[in-house]
Amino acid sequence: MSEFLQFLINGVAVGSMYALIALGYTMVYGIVSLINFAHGEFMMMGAFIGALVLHRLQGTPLVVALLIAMLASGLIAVVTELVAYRPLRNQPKIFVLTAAIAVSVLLQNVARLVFGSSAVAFPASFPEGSIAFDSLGIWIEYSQLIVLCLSLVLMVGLWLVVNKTKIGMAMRATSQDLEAARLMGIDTNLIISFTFFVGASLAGAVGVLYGMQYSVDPLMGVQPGLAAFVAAVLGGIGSLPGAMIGGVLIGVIENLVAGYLSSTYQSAITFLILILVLSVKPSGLLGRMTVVKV
Amino acid sequence: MSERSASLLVTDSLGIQFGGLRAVDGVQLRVGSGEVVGLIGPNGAGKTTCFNMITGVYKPTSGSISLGGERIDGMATTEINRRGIARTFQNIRLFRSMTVLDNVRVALHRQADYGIFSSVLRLPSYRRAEAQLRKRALELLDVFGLVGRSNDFASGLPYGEQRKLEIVRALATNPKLLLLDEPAAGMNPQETAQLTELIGRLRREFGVSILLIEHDMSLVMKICEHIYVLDYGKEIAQGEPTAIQNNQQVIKAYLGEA
Repeated sequence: MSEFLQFLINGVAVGSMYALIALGYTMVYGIVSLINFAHGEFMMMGAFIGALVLHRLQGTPLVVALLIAMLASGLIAVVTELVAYRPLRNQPKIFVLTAAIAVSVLLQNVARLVFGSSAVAFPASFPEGSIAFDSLGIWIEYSQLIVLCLSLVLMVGLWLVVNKTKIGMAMRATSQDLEAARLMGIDTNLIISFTFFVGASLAGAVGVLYGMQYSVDPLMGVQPGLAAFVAAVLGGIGSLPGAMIGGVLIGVIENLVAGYLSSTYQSAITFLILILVLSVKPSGLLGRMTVVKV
Repeated sequence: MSERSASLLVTDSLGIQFGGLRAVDGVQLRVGSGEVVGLIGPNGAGKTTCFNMITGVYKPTSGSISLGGERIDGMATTEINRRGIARTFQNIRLFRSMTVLDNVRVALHRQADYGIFSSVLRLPSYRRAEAQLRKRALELLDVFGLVGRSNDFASGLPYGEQRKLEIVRALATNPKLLLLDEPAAGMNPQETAQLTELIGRLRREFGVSILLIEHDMSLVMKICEHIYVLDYGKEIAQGEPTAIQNNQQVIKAYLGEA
């Protein structure tokens, strides 16, 4: 039992990071119906920029580095949308999807060129230690606690922006009907840029957390990006709560599989579960079926 | 023909071509300020296409559109809305999973000047502006008897009320000209009569001009001062309701040749 609980805790900690990345996938999909395959690279960029800031400007508080990383990732995403996606918006969907894959590869190689291809240690790390719950036989690492708290703060922040602000309401309107939103005077181009910015800045924050826990390298965004994509689809793409639940679920499943079976099967079983869920509920756990009128 | 008021909307030889198809050709519309003007014609005549050009959804391939003497054709839809044209849709396009109140608030928001920081931080300027918007939204909903539905999701409203909410939402953007695309579609005779009265009130109380597409002739004949008739993308007649009712070409277009 304690073993199970421990896997669960580890799963939720990793899963909350997947959830933050998945939110970006799902927000962007909700607004422009694009699976942004470069999203994992926004996370990687956040990690590198956070590391760069801490490395070059010794003594920068970690929180400031985190905010700079989020800002930078957000801006990279805004430029990406402007340069690579917007010109293709009225073309068949496959064009912009291809562009997203191209941007993904491009950003990986830019990182390789600028920062080198080997993994580097992040200049800061989480405080060592953990809180043990002896009666249950489990423990929570400080790093896990920090990740969980920060994820919670960011998710609450996102919820506030989406539900309690003018721009958030415009985002919801745009995601429900872009054309109608435009005809009601909403500047949908601004809303699209803002959505990319917010989604990528969440990914950038995860990049810093990931870097602190493991290391930083140009391909670090690939695995979590894929896991978060699966999470977003599992939760129901386009749904914010779906992305959060999907992220945590994928984290837990991965840890249970790695714990009880082998980490070799981690991805295979994750995808198997995705396929099973989608065959029963094609719109994902919290997604709504959309009926296309013909 | 009676005197018509100063022009608000004028289209000059408006036309659009989709590939080889001339969907609309040489249409000359004029809506005077404070007027209610009807745009009628058989299905597929190009009426909604005209609306789509006027609101910037489609770019006309020939002719021009001006609002208050200013060219607006080729402008972005958002910009056209900001200059004073709002519309409803033939197939209702509300923000379905937002509440009735939020559907109106989102359309009002452009008129509120507070930034994201004051709204996240809940500054007094935000509270004041938001309270004002809420009040305005409720006032507008009240005109259409929808206040009691404020907190329902738009998708949960009966069909007739969804149509009304679309009008409220369009009105919330503070337009000079309101385009209504088949506002009475799917309504029963009582609802249609009520709508007819409401459209009259819109003009009187909000000073808004109205261009409407409608198949319900009782509504069209009752409230429109001027009517344009399209058939196969071309204007086949225009004039006062009584003249249109007796126009042989119009009757032929609707009923076919005997």
